[in-house]
Amino acid sequence: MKIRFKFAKTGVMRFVGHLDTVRYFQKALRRSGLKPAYSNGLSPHLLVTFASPLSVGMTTEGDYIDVVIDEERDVREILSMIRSQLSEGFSLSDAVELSDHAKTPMALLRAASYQITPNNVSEEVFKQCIANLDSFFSQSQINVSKKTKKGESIVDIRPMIYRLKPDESKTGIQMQIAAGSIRHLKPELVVETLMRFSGFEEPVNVLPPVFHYHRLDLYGIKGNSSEREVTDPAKLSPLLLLDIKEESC
Amino acid sequence: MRKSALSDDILLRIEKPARYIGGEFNSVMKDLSDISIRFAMCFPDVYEIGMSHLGIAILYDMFNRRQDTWCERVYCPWVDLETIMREESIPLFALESQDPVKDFDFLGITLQYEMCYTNVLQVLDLADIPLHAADRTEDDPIVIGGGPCTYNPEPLAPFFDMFYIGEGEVTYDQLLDIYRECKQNRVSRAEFLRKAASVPGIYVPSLYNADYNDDGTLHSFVPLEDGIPEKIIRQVVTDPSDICYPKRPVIPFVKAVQDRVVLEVMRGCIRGCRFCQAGMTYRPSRSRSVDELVDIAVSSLEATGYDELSLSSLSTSDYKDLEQLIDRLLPYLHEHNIELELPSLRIDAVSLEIMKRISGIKRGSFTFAPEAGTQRLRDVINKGLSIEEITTGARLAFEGGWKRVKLYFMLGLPTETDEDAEGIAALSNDIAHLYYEIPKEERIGRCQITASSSFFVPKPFTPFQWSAMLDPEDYHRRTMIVKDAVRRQTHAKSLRYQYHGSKMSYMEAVLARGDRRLADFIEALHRKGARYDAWTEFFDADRWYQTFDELGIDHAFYAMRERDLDELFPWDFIETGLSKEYLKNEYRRAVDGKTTPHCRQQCTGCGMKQLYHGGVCVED
Repeated sequence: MKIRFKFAKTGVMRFVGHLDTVRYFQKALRRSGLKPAYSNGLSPHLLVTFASPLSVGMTTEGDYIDVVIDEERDVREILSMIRSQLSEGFSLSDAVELSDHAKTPMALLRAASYQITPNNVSEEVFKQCIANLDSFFSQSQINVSKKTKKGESIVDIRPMIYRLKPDESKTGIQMQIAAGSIRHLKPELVVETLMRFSGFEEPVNVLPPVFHYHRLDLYGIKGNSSEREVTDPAKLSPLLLLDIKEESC
Repeated sequence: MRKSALSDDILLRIEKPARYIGGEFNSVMKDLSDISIRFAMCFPDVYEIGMSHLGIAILYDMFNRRQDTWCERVYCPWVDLETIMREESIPLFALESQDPVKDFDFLGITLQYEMCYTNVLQVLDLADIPLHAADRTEDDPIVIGGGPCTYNPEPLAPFFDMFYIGEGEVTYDQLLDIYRECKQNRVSRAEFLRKAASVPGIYVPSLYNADYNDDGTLHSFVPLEDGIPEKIIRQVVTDPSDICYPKRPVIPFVKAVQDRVVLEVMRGCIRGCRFCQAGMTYRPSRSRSVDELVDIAVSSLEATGYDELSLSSLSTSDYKDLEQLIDRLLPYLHEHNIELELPSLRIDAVSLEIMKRISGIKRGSFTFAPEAGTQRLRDVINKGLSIEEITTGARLAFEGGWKRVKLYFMLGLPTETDEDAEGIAALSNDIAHLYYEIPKEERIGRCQITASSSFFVPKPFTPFQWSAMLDPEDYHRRTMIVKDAVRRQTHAKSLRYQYHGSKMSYMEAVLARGDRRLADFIEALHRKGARYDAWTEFFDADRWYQTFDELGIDHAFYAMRERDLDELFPWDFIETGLSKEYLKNEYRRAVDGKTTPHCRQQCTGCGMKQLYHGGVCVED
């Protein structure tokens, strides 16, 4: 059976890089007592797929791992078997059984949402950024220059920002932006552009970093998942709700 | 939430921050109110190297089984973090609690190679512990050394409060019990050291005095007080089944060098290779039973989730029940998609059969360690590998589908001539030739023979402890002889030759047979900023030579001098169980080119049987 886990990585464990996190979950799965499925071929590997890598230093409460096991079990039981193998800083918030023809989480991925809080920036600067959020977001184009192999090119990032607002307590910014293999936007680029829009110098590669990034969730397109481009952000749905196996009972 | 010794901002600035955060699965957390002894166990190199070491895993597990003790791990910060720690005055910390090492009762440092000595001082310095044991106060940890380099701990003598000589499983409990009692009764540091000196295997260097002759050799080495033992007896586990094994090793987040379950099948070696310190000092050869090994393997794999298992020993082919062990392990390993690694196998029909079974149709490379290029020189070092065994093994391997061969050699062995060096190329070529004797239609493409050479370093407690090391220039000349000879071979296109610089080996030789007077030298290197000298990118030979000159130390005295058979050595106060007569006899036989049978063929009276009487010595 195919299972999708929603996982969180918090605290100091955000310094465990993506590949190390992958290996960490593979070992946890192998310890759990479940019968994990392997690929065929000369060097069989575990059928474990992550939706999207997370940069070192970012925390998350909305990342996904798909796993295939060679047995049928209750999802609650599976969840508790894996949970018992996780150490502080890693946790699973939920799990669902997927339909047999479920796509990989990477193939489904269209968007990611983040909570951004100040780390190394004055309160005034951050307040100013929050005050400018609406006017920033209501622009019809947001052009940024991107360095490519061929030199600099101008890209309009506005179509890749689906949602941008202060959080409820106005102490942070929440955004939903394009993610995945079709279109991908780094949250840092949005924040840098917002700062420049607000009249501040953009914090490129500054250490310590000016903001802390916390991933809230990852999304695909509801219904017809073969749709490539996000034309209507209202159709986005958390990956946890996509390609779920129909209840047979 | 876990505490961190390093701020988030620092962790974001450095390479591989997960080296420093602790919290790995199976790492042990304890409550400070439940324990009375804090032990910081340090491997003085970077995390990925230190986390690959089985010895530390064994002691970590053993100490943490004690209710009154919490053992934590310490590694050297990489150079990026080291700079930040100095700038921001962050003291060296242990991974589990993230507390400063200075707050601990013990700092244990394993000494696995001589070139880590500058790192040892680096560790003390970063931990803010006085470098000299004599300068430490009641508040400083007891600094204790262990590991193979304690077979001559003298160059480090002033920096350590004590050394543990031998296998840690034997008397550490006794030492910790005495420490706890002393701590409860507020016994002084000096008094505790005196009590510790009576624990078998514990060497307290400050309680001994070394005197030297006019020619620089050691005149006498005696205890300063009554009741302090003249000889330190190496501690040995007689029966490995009696001791615990770490079945829940800590799993690093970052990929370690040895990122798999390591199963120690044997300790010690029956072969008597005359250059090999481990083969001599870890005697007698002792094996674990198949039942026990299968149990350890399965429980460790289940507790870690690793997908690789490696059998570890000095010579796994000499494990008597190897085929039976493989038979028992393979079904479990296949079922769980776990790969089996068998390093240090001798290439013969039996091991090739085993390799075929474990690798299926995959064919990697196979490895020979002839160590010397000619049979004459292999006899000198008592390698116990004949040209017939090499050719038979290679032919079988080629017929079995292998075509990549690795060959390990040493240069600068005692009595070595230019012909022996050329022999490395000739032997490599002969092996390649065996491949091309297979009919063309049965072989696929070219074979690839990679010969690599390291430099022989004479070590204490080997028959070559009397031998001279060559000049680094001479080593270089010899590598060039091999290089040229390889180019002239008929199958040169299938041969590759790899070699390293010789200066690091030369410095290793100076330290390996050094005495207490070298401590000032190591300290001077440290003050000049030396660390990570085992890493070619940080080792600075000029700095070493310059420091020798500044301190007026004759490095050739330590490295290049052939010793008189009756010379008193700085390490002679250690009783390893090997009789000096045996070593002398082996040295003479080496010079005469005579081989000596291995322990299962015939007891050659090395002396272990008198002192330890276990393992191979008591086999039928």
